[in-house]
Amino acid sequence: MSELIHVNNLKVRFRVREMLHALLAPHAPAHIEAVSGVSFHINTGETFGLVGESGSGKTTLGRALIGLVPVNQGSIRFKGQELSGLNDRAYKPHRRDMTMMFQDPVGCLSPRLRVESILAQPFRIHGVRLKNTPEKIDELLSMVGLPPEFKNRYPHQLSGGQARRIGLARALALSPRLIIADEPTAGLDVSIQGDILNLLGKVQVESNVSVLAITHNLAVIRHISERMAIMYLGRFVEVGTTEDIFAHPSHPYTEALLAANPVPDPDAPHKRVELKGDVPSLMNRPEGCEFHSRCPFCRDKCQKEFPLLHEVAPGHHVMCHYPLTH
Amino acid sequence: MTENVLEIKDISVDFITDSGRLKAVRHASFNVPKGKIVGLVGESGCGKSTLASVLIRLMSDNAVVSGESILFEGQNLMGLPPEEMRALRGNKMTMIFQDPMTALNPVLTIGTQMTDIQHRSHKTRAQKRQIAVEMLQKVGIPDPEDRLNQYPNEFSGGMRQRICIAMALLSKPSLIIADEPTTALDVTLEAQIVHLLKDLQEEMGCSILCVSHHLGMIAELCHDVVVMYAGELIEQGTVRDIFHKAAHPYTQRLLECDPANIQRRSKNLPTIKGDIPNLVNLPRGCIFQDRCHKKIAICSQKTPGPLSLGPGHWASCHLLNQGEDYV
Repeated sequence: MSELIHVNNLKVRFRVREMLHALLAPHAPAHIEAVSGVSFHINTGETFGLVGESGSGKTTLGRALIGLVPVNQGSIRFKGQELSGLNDRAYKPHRRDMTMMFQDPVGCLSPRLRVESILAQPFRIHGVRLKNTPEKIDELLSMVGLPPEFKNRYPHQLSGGQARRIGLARALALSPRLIIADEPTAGLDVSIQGDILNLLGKVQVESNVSVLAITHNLAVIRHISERMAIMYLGRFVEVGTTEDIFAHPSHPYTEALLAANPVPDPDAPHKRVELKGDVPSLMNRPEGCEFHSRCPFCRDKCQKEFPLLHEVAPGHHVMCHYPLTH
Repeated sequence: MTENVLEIKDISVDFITDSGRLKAVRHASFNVPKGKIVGLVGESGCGKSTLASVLIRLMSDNAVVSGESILFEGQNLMGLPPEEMRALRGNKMTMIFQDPMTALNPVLTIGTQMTDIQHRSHKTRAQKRQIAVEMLQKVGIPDPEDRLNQYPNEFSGGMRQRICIAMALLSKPSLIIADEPTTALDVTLEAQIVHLLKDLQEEMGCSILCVSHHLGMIAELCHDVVVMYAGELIEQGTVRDIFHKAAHPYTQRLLECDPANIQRRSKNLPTIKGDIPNLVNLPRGCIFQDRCHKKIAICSQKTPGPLSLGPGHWASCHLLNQGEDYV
């Protein structure tokens, strides 16, 4: 399997203080590091899952890959070409091969355009001349399982699930190599979540496209991704195959996330590892292991020394001094 | 017989819209027993939040409520004058809202809001503050005395929801209505809030009506469960009845569809095909017929009534009817 995208030590910073503030309070941090040195790769035709709580930097990472937020450090190699440091104009051609499904299904569709125009936009933006535009639109609609009549509708006339399908159709329009799906099932009812996930799987088999699936829902990731990473405070704390991580979570945070996902069964055994407190602020990262303030297994070393990402099993990496053994 | 804090009989809610009367809730009847947590489950648009807002009378202006009675501690809330309803609201009956960001006033300190909410009590301001401090301690907020002087934006999402819970408990209510209390929170915080609610309920002995679409949370928190679909109650039972012996095809499918319930990795996840029927022009017969995989002839002819399946467990489905009359 060939590597489609390779990310190395990627960092994204946001400025939190204006110049004047920085002068007045020179010791306060001027930046937060939303993505803090992340490395991974995605193979052709593979789904890579990115899991984390809100504020963990997962959406920022997705947006950085597609060039919607500037990268401060590190490299993104996509199809063998370096993307970090490119300006907007130079980035544009790469967005033909890399598209995004946004988090808010209705909000990401212009309320003033009909579905037809929404789906024609990618071709217009990238200057692709179509022989027969209406035919292409119908084809895209049928790919996502919607009848051709939908092209005359406005976004407000669509349900959440239908809007999500239009978002996918738009992402597929230019036959991309990579789709970044940000929370593909957020806001959908359980009875139709499966619909969107099945559709994504079907499209993937047909066109061998790679998917970066960003979500906080572990139950969803389990079904769609081959490999996955758990993100905490902008870093990967565990990376490995989905199967390994679900069977043998090595980082206490992963274990807690898995346990916190309540099973719809009142008699399910409680293997609760309940975390204390909230996620620390990025402005004020804890010393040593950044998870130690919430970790139920914290020891002395964790408070002093920053753990490095290391391999615990082939292809399974974890950022913890004392990985859990099963 | 256990005592009921809340008894709802045959309540319907219509919304007057431009395209006609939208029948959001139809003939709903259920009870909330004293000291129990009852879950009201359903997908978006099934009317669960509408029903909850009718109980505490916070529905929008175009809603028309009809039906027999809403008995709260023996008092009928239907037709109760607004002043009396207001005296009840926030006192004997309180609410926890979905979004803790918008439920708190951003320009007042937590301390001010928590003393203001006790306006009915005749204690001094210092005493009210002390009660607020104790309640914040109970919901697990560290250094409550200092934090009372802070504004909502200085708290994280999980903390804010804890404050909302503390405020709902301040008046020692007999019923708390919790509308999607964990939807706006992350999974690890959700677990914390569920445990907190459960512990506090046991300690204070109040009843909770918990409205949610999250099956996992309902399974963990509630004693009894009511399932709603497109404005109708379709099944009710204890939490074990619903999760282990679900009788209505909708409940069964809903449980099957939840990705959390599918342990084996699958690229072909089950779904419920179709959409919720139009609530302005209701179809004849069973409300779920169009999406039901077990549909039979009678389903499109006659609306099924509730059939008893055991103590406290009933469902509305023709398939369960083996000759006996509807209860």
